[in-house]
Amino acid sequence: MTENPQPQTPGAAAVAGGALRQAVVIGGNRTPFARSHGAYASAGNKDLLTAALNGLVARFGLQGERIGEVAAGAVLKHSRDFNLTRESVLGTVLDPSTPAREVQIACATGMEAIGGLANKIRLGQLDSAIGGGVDSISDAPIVFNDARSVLMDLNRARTTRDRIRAALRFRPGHLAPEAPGTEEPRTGLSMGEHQARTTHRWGITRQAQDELALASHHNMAAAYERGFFDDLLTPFGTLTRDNNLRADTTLEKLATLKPAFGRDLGEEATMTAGNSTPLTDGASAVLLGSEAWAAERGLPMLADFVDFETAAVDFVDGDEGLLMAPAYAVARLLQRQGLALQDFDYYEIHEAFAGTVLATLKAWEDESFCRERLGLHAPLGPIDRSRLNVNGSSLAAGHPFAATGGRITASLAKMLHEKGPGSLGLISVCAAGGQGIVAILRGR
Amino acid sequence: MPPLAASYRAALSTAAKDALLRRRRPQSLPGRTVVVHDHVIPRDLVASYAGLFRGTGPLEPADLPSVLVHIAGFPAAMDLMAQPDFPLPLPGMVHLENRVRHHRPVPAGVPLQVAASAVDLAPHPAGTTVEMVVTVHGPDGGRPGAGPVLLWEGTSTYLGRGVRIDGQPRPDRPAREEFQVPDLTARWHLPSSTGRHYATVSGDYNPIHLNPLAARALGQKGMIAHGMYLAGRMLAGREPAGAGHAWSISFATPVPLPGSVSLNVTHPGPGVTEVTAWDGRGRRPHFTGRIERDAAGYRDS
Amino acid sequence: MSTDSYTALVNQPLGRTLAKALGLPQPVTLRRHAPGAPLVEGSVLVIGGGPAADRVAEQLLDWGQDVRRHPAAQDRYGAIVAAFDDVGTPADLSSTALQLGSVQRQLGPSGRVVTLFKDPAGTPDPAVRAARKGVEGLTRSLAHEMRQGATANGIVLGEDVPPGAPGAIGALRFLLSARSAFVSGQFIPVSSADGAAPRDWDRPLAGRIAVVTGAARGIGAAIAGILHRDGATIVGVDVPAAGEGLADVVNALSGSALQLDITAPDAGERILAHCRERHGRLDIVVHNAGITRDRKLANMDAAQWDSVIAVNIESQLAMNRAFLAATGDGVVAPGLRIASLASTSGIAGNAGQTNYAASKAAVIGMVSATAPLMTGGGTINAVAPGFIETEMTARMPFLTREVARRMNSLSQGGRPVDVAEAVSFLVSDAAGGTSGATLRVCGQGIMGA
Repeated sequence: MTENPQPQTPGAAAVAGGALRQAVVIGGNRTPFARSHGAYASAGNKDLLTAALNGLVARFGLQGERIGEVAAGAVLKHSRDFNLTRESVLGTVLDPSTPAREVQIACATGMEAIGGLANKIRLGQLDSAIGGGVDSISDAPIVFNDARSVLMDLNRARTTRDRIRAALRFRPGHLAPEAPGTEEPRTGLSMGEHQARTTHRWGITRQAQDELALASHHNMAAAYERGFFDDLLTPFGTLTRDNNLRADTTLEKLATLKPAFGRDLGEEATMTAGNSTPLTDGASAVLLGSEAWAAERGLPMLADFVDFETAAVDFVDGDEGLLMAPAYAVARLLQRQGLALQDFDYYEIHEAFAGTVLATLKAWEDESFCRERLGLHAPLGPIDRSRLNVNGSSLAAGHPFAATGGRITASLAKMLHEKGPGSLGLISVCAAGGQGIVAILRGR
Repeated sequence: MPPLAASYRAALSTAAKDALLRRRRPQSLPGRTVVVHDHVIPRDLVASYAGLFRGTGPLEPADLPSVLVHIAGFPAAMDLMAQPDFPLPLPGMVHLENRVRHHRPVPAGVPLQVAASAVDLAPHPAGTTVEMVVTVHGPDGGRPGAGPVLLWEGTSTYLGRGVRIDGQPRPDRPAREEFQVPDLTARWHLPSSTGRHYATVSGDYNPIHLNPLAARALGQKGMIAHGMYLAGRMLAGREPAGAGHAWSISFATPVPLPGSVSLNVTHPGPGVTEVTAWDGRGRRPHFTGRIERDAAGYRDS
Repeated sequence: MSTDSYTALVNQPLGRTLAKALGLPQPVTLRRHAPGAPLVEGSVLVIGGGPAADRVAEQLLDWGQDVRRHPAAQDRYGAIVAAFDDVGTPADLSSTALQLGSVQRQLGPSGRVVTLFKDPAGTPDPAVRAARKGVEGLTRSLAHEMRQGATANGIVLGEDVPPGAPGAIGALRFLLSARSAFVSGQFIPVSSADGAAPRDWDRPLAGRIAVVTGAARGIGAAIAGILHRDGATIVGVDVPAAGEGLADVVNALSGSALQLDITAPDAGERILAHCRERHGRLDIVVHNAGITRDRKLANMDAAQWDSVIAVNIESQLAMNRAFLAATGDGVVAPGLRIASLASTSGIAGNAGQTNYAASKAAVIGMVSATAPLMTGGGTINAVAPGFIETEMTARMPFLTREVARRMNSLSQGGRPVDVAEAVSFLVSDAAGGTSGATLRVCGQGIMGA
């Protein structure tokens, strides 16, 4: 790990000349994740995020506490929720003087929120923080763009004549809603269609994808059974567990599913509803703090948030796969921290699609990719697959976009704490727009 | 600039008279050049054009995108094509191809000189083609006495279906190549309002883009997307800021509205983008296009 | 919680007249404890000839009560304390008993009768034991005769326990107070001189760390609330599936939530770890979590039987082993106080509840056998609720519920808070002289009388 080269002023914050300090993951909380238009159909982003925060407050006895900063966001949200996180904080029993801000970097929103807060703690700007995210496809705003322009003109019209003229432009067809989706604006392709290209390009087989999906469900079901999630999750509404989880699924069942993405690839289409994540509703929150802050309150210190890195790739004309940015980010992060890909006890690679994880792993093993794309002398190499997503990941839990970072961070921190001090964990989360965030946690 | 609607009206009345009088169209190009001086492209047109490709608009809104320059110059070409002395009748004319060299940035709100001429009346297996050449010249760029500078030149190829020119041989239909579906990299979803939206920006209210019944009356199966809309969408986000590029688009089959278009976009070489568009089922290509940066032979020094 | 609309009705003028005319039960709204409210509304009459009466009178004066030592016809009493600590033979009961009867009608609404006597088992002498045992019968019967929310209970002193022992004083205060609103016809044994009076009677649990299992709702949530009101910091425990309610409860009490299945083999250790990490100690454990799986025994399957036994008693035994093993390790306080939820079903039995009654009777046995194992002045007791208005009883069929809630001397169901008050008393230092006992909070229910 890198040392801080700054001259150090004892006792002062790093930004004021002191030493950098550790940002500690204290714990986390999330709602169970629900397949969209199901269990949480009537719950909004604010309800879910407030519930996740309240559960976190209850777990760590933070009632009335002024937290340094709460950062969270939602990928899909109403314009009325411009201050979603602050509004949610005001709905909790935290001290109302706890500031909050919105974060947004698609599916990596949670990671960005947590990483940014960790940096502020390391710099001495914050002693405590909560990072997280929420998404509710069920609550996503429906947009009537055609009607909108007519209504805006109507609103702007000054004279009766202008008003009549604007109103006459209105047609029933204007009420056709533009449903929220995961379509990339620049390509018109859904994330699944994009990944289908990448999966195909990297020659990832249907069998390999189904096996990864199966492992995710089985690992997560086992984790639930042994109570791993007892202190990571608070039930919400009618759910006490993620309702996408299929403990009893089998390779045979997965094999019966028809391709859902890349159907134009014909026989070579491999991505099904079984090895892809469904649209999901849910929220997560992670409590971070300085060592002193945690110690004063008798709070656990599960892991240090060591570092994180964001990358983006040019996917628009197919030069790189939409979800391949983490492959690049990991190379840069490893280089900065002087680590090898094999140095980790656990790998948490967000399963947007089984193909995403497998293509990323294959890319790291690929000589020419690592040389030409990552600018390395040698491939990053293979990882020990028994350390990958050992308590399941998004294929089993589902993936409420902005909530996934918090889910992974809290789970990994707990795993590393159980593994012991000095253990290392790698997080990789891909995001829409060809972006991705990766992070390193160190167990305590 | 001669208004488009007037040109359409003139063209329709010429066509009606031709039919009524069983009159033959002239057998050669008029040889005139329509020149419009001090043509100013209004600034607000840039904003409404950008609205066409919401989310994927031009990179540099200060400079006019190539297709918007085409829109601005199109009425001059139409003025030629709508006249009784033009050999091909405007109704039912098919847009085959566009080739543009966008030498220098074309500014809005500045007087420009637009010239349109028709060249190369040529036989085609399905009729006769004509090339309409439009040039846009602008101020001298701060070099007094240098005279107007060529900013933009575009050639549009149109097919007059079934039109034969005396003495021209009828070429054989080329063997149809089996269309090989390339890798999908993008998909455009085109709502039925696409034609109307483009018309409000371009002023080109050709009914085959606006109304399914009118389109059927004019020989299409239904409403189809405007070729220049497709060209504009292809260029959106890919056109370099500051001009100096060349691009072309060649249309194979019409794009029905509403509908979706599958695309393959590749970069076969530095600064080169190639686009193939086809229908979702992969049976027939809609168009191919090519964009070359730094290919117009001019860079600001 | 179900609403007792009958009680509401008969507390209206018209309803009262109707109920009287029809000879229907006339439940009153019971006086319940609020911090800062007077201990007793009205004067307190203390009668009886032994040393206890003097000591009690002295204590009551110390608490600022209006104490009378002789009945007077014009007096209205908030409470009457009758000391029978000196009875040597049943004939000795006469004077105090008749004196008590002469003022019975002068007792106000939600009034209190507290008898004080020595443990019958503490003497081998037949006459003395007979006399002491007689006080029990007198007290129980008097409880049945109480009207308008008044109660009658007894304090049973161990042979060598002086009437001024902290436990005796604590029991006296609890029984006199509105905290014991739904306790009637019961006896609190004070078997040792252990315990201490709190510095502040309104915050007897100040500074204590209390674990409450099953805290997400119902009686558990009420216990957490009352313990917090009385000064304790709450660690709320419930199964992960009840986490949402648990979070709401602890957030309202500034406590912390521990989602835990108490039947997990390491449940005790995990509770200890949580308390060690967050608070550095553990003072109070309330085993409240419980489940019902009601079926006639003939229809009962193994899962129904075993789950009730596992949750309601085996888990408590296992957790207690962990807590007792850790006593003195710096986390578990030497004077650890445990309260466990039993049930009147465990005393009287109830059709369809063989499993539940077995588990709850087992709790009663468990606390009595665990009491001697408690070190450093620690105590363990059980509370056996009768009919309590909860979500669970709200789901009973209307008639069954209506009958069940009238089948006691107060003609109404208790509230979760009544159970919670009893628990809060038993885990306080003021109850330090009581251990291994089961206190019923049932309004002197007929069941198991």
